[in-house]
Order: sequence, then structure tokens, then C-alpha cells
Amino acid sequence: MKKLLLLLVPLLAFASMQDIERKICTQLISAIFQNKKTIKVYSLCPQLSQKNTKDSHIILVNTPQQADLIITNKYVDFTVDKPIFVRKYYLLQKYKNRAVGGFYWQKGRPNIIFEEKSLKKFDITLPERFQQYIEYKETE
Amino acid sequence: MTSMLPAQEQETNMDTLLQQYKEESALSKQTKKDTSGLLYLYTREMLEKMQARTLKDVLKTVPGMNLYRVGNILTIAPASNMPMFVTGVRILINDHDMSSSFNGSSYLLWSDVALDYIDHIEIYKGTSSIAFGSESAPIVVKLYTKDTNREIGSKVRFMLDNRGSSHASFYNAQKVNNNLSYFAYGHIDNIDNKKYHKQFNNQSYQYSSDTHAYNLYANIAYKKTTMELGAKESTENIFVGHGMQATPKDTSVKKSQKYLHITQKLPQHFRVQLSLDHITYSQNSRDDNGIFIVDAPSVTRFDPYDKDNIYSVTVDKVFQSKNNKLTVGVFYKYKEFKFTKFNNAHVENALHYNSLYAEDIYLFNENLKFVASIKENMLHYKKEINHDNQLSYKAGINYKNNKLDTQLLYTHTYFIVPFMDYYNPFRASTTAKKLHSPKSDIYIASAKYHFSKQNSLSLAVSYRSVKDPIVHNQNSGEFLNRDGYTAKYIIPEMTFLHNFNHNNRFDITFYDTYNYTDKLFSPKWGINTRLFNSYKKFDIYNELVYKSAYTDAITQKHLKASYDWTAALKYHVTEDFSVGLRGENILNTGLKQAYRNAPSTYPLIEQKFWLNLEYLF
Repeated sequence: MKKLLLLLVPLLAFASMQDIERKICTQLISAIFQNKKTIKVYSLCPQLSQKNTKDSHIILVNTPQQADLIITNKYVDFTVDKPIFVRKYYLLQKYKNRAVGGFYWQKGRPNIIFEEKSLKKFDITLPERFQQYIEYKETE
Repeated sequence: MTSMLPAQEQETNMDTLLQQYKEESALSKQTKKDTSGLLYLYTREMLEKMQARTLKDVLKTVPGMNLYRVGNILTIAPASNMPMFVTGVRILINDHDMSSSFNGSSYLLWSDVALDYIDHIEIYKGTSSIAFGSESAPIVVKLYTKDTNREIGSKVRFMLDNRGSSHASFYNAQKVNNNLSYFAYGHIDNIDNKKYHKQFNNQSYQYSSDTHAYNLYANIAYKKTTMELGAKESTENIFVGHGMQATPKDTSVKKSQKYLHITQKLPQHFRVQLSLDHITYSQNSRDDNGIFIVDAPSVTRFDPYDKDNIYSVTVDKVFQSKNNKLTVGVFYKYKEFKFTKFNNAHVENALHYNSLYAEDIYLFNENLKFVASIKENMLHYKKEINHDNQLSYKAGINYKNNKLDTQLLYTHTYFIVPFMDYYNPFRASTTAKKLHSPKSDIYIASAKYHFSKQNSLSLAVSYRSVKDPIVHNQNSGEFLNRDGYTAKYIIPEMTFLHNFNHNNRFDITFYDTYNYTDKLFSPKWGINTRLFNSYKKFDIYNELVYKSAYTDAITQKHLKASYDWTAALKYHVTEDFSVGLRGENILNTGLKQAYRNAPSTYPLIEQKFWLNLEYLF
């Protein structure tokens, strides 16, 4: 089975990139729920699958209703009022009051952001080392 | 803090992870084809540290290549040789071949393309180009535009040099919804270069290479469909001109290319591409002391005009299994030109170009990989020129383990004869119908050994032969095959690379060339060194390109050894705003070129100092 991965260099690079991406996502999700032993996540991102979260404290669930957190890279009209973590910049606007944060590409670099207003709404406090990623917006 | 993360993941600093993620997700890691030839890769990070403005800033640092000016077009010449045959180099922007129809060259407009919308550049030497689905060429310069999904936002860049040149560019990238995104880019260049003068018969003549240009590019993606639109136009002075005494007056050339390229991805790894190109070329050249014409008296005005149209469709499919990746494809191109000669004579012709190709990469075991490819090219001309069928093929073997990466490649290819050689613009009458495609065999052996994580040494030897090369007879002015003759060329090169850490690296390359003649047309050997550094908010780049002295076989002029020191310093005021300085040919001892009947030798890269402002928002 190793052969398939080794077939092409780009695949190897992709695998390494995905591994780091998974690590970052895992840390960010953990930061949002720092006191939870297990975190139920409804994921629409291929980087977070059953396979690559099996050794962590993240449990992937099948419906948004079961989840503590929704993580998505495309717009879907979720009817439940759960915190959402986005993987595309434009989704921050789409889920204006529910997007607690995002990890996405913008201006040619990867960015991490947490939305103060949404964090407050869902009563989420981030660990000290993630405070630098919080965006404070003026109240409209 | 009471995080539930496993210990090893908890300890990793998020900024470090982000930096690693950025490095690992570099697009160049996903696009490079390391079985396609000798690869010289310029990543986005390198281009940004270099503060490279145009493609020529990159080409001048490729080992074994020299810049060479023909008219005011900067081309490349393999070390010790004359410029590469015009169809021997392809510039591709994404998958679009930028070559013109009449001239056959990609350099006509694109050798100085500004790089603000380019993510990274791959330069392949000794390739058959089969892997790229393009027309055959042993050198492929592949530019990849920035990825919309990663660029969301806008960027402006403004550059100003000590001679008053300016360069301004802007792009905007947006994802509109789940399915629709766009990237739009434009730039304007006003490049003023140093003027030189020649006195002849008590009159003064000026050599100028000033250029005014703009370039627009847009990329719209909807689901699996991508549409690219490009438009570039430039007006340039033709430096020493075309006259026999190199005494130009009021020379200018206006060139434009507009193109559309649509890519449709289909299920089962099917891909269909459609493209259109419209290229115009209009020259105004005056020399009162005469411009040589092959078969008629000399003229004082030379103002040919050309219009090209190119239409193409490409279909390819990838079959992937455990150990195999097989790509099969077919393309059809229709290339036409309408050329009005200096004497108002009108010539036109068209080419139906069909190509079938296949490439297989077979993994024998974890370390050993084989590659084989074949391409049948069928060229049918509308009139006058005989049909031509040409086969190109490639075989290679690659062995790689943790320490060693070796490659052996053999390529058999050919050079398409450009229309320009059949319908010589400097000829009053018509066609050189007897011209035929030169064939080329290329052998490459390369090895890279990693002594440690920090240090590696690469060795490469390439051998190229060209049978029946087309030459431009300097006395008669005609293009003709040198039948029965095989031009041979060998280039060994050695590179030592030292990574101080992921932000700081140094490399040095030594190369030499043997062209099996006692004539040199450009420097024979050279040493290229580059130093990339980052310190706090500073990016620092240094490059020293040394080229050996030589006596030019055409002009018999001696050109001294050249040292081109280029340096760039960038200060990141914020994450989004930077101020930079770039000095080119700082010591003014860079590579020069000799021209017939021109009184001196002239630098190919001007001594310039640029101020560079970049802002992201």
C-alpha cells in the first residue's frame, strides 16, 4: 500500500501538507473547547475525517445537531445555532453571528482568526496563547 | 491552561506550524515534474526575496544560459552558443503556450513579462515537453499564476528606478460563492534605459531599448471550469536596429497578444482545453545607411507587419493505478499568419498541427521509477510547404532514497521550423521551401546527494546534439539547413547547497560547456551564487553571476569576464506593507553583448536601482 503514496512526489508533499493542516485544526478546535474531554465535530472538510481523528479527542458526528462545533469549507444553510469554524475567508461573512473563527488562505498566506463577538455569544474563552488571533470589531 | 491535546501536539507553537504549513503547501511542490528534465525551480518565496520584477531577472540566473538580445527581444543562449533556436524554448503560463505563429518564439512578448501575478516558475532543460502537452521544445519555461483561493484580497505594487522607469501593478482575488471565484490583474511599465550613441559620417545615432507595456490577466473559475483571459501590449525601441552600419533612426516595434484559454475538468481525470490567440507585430525601422535585403538592393525603411491567429483544442486523460500513472492526450492546433513585407508584398500560410502523445510513469519499487513517453506530431501546411511528420520520445530512470536522488534521461525531439524562416522578412521574394526540421538527441545524467539536512551536492551532465541545424548565413542573409552536420554540445554543472535554516540558504553552481568547435558566441563557463536571508523583519537577497571572457565569433570582439552582482533588501513594515530596494548589475560589470558595426559592447542588464513598495489589503 505504501507504493500508491510514493508514486508521485506531489502526492507526498500533499500528504505532508495535510498532516500539518490536521494538526493545526486539531489544536484550534481544542482551544475552542479547552475544558472538554471529547469534542463532537460535524465536519465538511476532508482534512478532518474519521481516519485522521481517530487518535485524538475529536469525535466526528453525522449531523450538525449532534455537534459541539461545525467545521466547513463551503456554504451550507445550517439551521442549528452552533458555533461554526470556517476554512474559507468568505464564509466568515456568510455565517456572521455564528462563525467563531477561521483558518483559511488570504493574501497569499494562511491565516487564523477568532471573532470576539461570536466567541462571546457562545461563551467561549480561548487559552492565553490564542488570544493574539482574536479580532475585535467595533459594535455597529 | 488545561488543554486535552496529546502532549506532542500541544507543544508545537502555532506560528511555527503555520510557517511549516505555508512551506509544505507551496504550489511548486505540487506542480513540479521531476522526471521531465533538468529542473530549475524558483519558488514564490525565492521570487519574493529576489524582488524579481520580470522573467529576465530569473532567466539571467539559470546556470548554463546567457541572456542574448535580438532586436530588443531578450532571448537565452546556451553557454558558448548562439541564441537557442526560436522554437526550442516554450514559455507556458499555466498551460497556455505563448509562442507566436509567424515568429515561432515565446520571447516575442513574454521574456520580460512582469511576475506580480506569478506564483512560481519551473524551468526544464532537456525536456521533450510531452508531459506539458505543448509543442515540442527542449527547454520549457513554465510560469504558474497565483492561486485565487489563496490570494483572496488585493495587492498593489509600485516600483521606481534611478532612471525614471516606473512599474505599477494591481490584482484582486475573490471567492464569490462556493462555486465561483476570480483573479484579476493588470500592470503598466514605463521602462527607460541608458542611451548609447554612435557617430557615423558626422552624424549621431542613438541606441535605445526603452519599453512601454501593459499586461492584463483574468482568471474566472466556476465549478470545474476555468477561463483565462490575457492581453499584453508593448512598444519598444529596437536598440542597434537592423541596418548594415548599425545607425538606426526612429526605430520602434509594437507587439500585442490577446488570448483566451478555457480548461474543463471532467470526471475520470478527463480534461479538455480550448484556446485562442491573436498576435500582432508592427515594426517601424529606419536606417539611412541601408538595411540589407537578401535578393534585392538594400532599403532605408523596414516596416513589416504581421497578424497571427492560433486556435487549439487539447484533450487528455490520466489513468492511475497502484504503480502506474499513464497520461494520454491529443491536441489540434491551427496556426495562421498574414505577413506584409517591407516592400508591401503580402504572404500568408497556415499550419494544421495534430499531436498524439502518451507518457507513463512506472514505480518499480519505493525507490526506483521509470518514465517513458512518445509523441507523434503531424504538421500539414495549407500551401507551399511540405507536410511533415515527426516523432519525439523520451525514456528515463529515477532512483531516490533518503540521501541520494539520481536521474538518467534520454530524449529525442525536433525543432519546428518557424514560418519566419520559410518566409524570411529580409527577403524580397518568397519561400525557402527546402528547410526541414532539425532533430535533436539529449542525454542527461544527474545526481543529488544530501550529506545532511543542511548540505547537498548536485552533479549534472547534459549532452545535446542537433542534426541538420538551421543557420542564418551572415553573408547571404538566408536561413538554411546545414545538412549532414551535427552540432554537439555538452555541459557539466555542479551545485552545492547549504541551508542554514528554513529562512536562510546559500547555493553556488559552477558550469562549463563544450561546443566541439573553436568558436564562442557567448561566455563558455560561469559561476552563479545566491544567498537568501531573513532576519526579523528584513529579507535580504544577494546574487553574483560570473561569466567567463570570450571573443565573439560573429563580431570578433573580445568581451571581458563579467560579474553581475544583484542585491535586494526588503523591510516588512507590517504583515501587509513592505518597502524594498533592489540593485541590478550594481557594479556595472555584468554581461555585455557585441553587435556588428556597433562601436562598443553593451550591457544586457542595465545598472539599475529600484525602489519597491508592496501593499496587501
